[in-house]
Amino acid sequence: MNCLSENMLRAYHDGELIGAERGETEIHLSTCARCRQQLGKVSEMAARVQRRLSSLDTSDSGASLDPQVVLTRFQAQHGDHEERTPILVRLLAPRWRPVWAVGALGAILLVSLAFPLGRGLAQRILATLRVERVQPVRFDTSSLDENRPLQRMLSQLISDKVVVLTDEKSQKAATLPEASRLAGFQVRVPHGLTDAPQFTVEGQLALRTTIDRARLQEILDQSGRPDLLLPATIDGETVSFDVPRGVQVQYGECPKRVNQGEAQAGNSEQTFNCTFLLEVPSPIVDVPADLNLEQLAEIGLQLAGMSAVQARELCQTVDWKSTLVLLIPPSVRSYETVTVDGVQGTLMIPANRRGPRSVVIWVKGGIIYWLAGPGGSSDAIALANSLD
Amino acid sequence: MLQNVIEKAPTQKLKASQCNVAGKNSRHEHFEQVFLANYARVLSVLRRIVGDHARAEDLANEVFLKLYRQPMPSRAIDNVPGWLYRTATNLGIDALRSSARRYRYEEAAARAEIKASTAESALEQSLKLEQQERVRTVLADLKPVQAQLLLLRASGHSYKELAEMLDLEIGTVGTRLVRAEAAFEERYIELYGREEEL
Repeated sequence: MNCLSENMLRAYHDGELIGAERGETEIHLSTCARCRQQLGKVSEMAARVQRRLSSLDTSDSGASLDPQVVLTRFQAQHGDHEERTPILVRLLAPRWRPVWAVGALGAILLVSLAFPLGRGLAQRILATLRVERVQPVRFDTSSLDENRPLQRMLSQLISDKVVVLTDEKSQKAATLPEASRLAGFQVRVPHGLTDAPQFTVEGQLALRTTIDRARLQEILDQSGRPDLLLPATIDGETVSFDVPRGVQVQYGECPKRVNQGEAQAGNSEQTFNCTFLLEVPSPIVDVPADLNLEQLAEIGLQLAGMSAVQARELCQTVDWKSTLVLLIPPSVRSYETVTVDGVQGTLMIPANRRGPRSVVIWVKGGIIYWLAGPGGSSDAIALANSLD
Repeated sequence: MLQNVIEKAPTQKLKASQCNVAGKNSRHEHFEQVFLANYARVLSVLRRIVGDHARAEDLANEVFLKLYRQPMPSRAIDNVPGWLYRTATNLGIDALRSSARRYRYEEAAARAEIKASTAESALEQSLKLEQQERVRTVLADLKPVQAQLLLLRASGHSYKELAEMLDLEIGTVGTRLVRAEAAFEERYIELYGREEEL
């Protein structure tokens, strides 16, 4: 029998070996002086560290709280949140996907960095990112969809790190002026549609996060990219997101999921007969001024599937402080840059024929527009150009 | 020994599907069960990490609030107690890391208070506080997952439980523990020298 591994020695020390495994280990130890010596070292170190940690032991004099009393208090404080849609489910809805890609940090980094708080308001927030243009990037999510440990790591990181500062409920508005008043900006509507518009004002959402470099690096490792190294300087930095109130305008018979921004009709066999326009002022992302956005952008783009060379080339042409990275998933059959509403935008043709036939996204006057409809690309552009 | 003081981790496994059964009442009841079964132990773990009882209570509250508002699909949680401990240690370690300086003030304040005690017990308490501060500083400096592993193991969790909580292969837990302990010792010696038995 070969000498015992460190893992076996430690497991033996901890009484974690049973049955034959334990028996074989004991037999080996009885004949191998080297392993006995190694076991001694492992055991001594374990005991020393254990002694240190046991100094944290407390008398728990204050731990006599009755959990039932604490629970009652807890429910009194938080009971009203029960019926709300979980925040992350909302955040990960397609409506907010562009938000995740704002700036330079890349999809996974953003989802990971995306949130919460910790150190009070006096943080070192010196740089502000505002979206002025759109940069489409193909993003194949299939490997992430199947990577269960990665999903768990991300969900845990988000659970641990996200602090929601503001999360307003959405509300209906009866008229265009009312929607504009509630949203705080002039809402624009397209011309030439016969159905009456339905307005929904989406609530403001503000989040903050503190970057935990070690855990993000583990996530990169788990994503199969241990070669992408995060700079040590980002550790402990704070990033915050503020998504202002936005407005959804719908025409026709929109499936329920479209109401939430999902641009597909699910299992419905009916013809898709819904035009959906989302208008959101640019989310504001506050990051420390010395954060190297270009470096993080390169990492994010490589994670999205680009080669190092491609990522570097793209990074050199983009101002990451004002660019919305639009991640194009495999469900989009094709996309192209178009001139729309007087600016450059992106036209996407989804593969799913039961959903909208075209989606256009553009940024104008600090507002992000997302228009999905049953018409083809020329109809979509014409409709976008008709906005008042 | 810490291990003897703290009870073994709960072995109950509450499947995610239980967490999300249709109907608010079931969900409420399930949350209540989880809360009542785990609150004291979660608080105890946090108290050891951060020291201050009020701070530990705040953090325990945050742990359960995260569960209450759990945003991810139910399949993300297939071991609710494990999730609670992992979240608690994460939050505790974050608190240690982000407020290391504040702790020094708190410890100093605590030391000032014990001056009123008898000389002998005051010395004893002062040494204990000093030791706790050192251990917390070292834990805050380790990789979070290593600090978490050491704390959870010291709280009496088995290898199987550690593997489930921290998403590790069970066959690597022993090695990871050895490495975490080596990192702990190395950092301790760097900061405080090779005193006493360490």
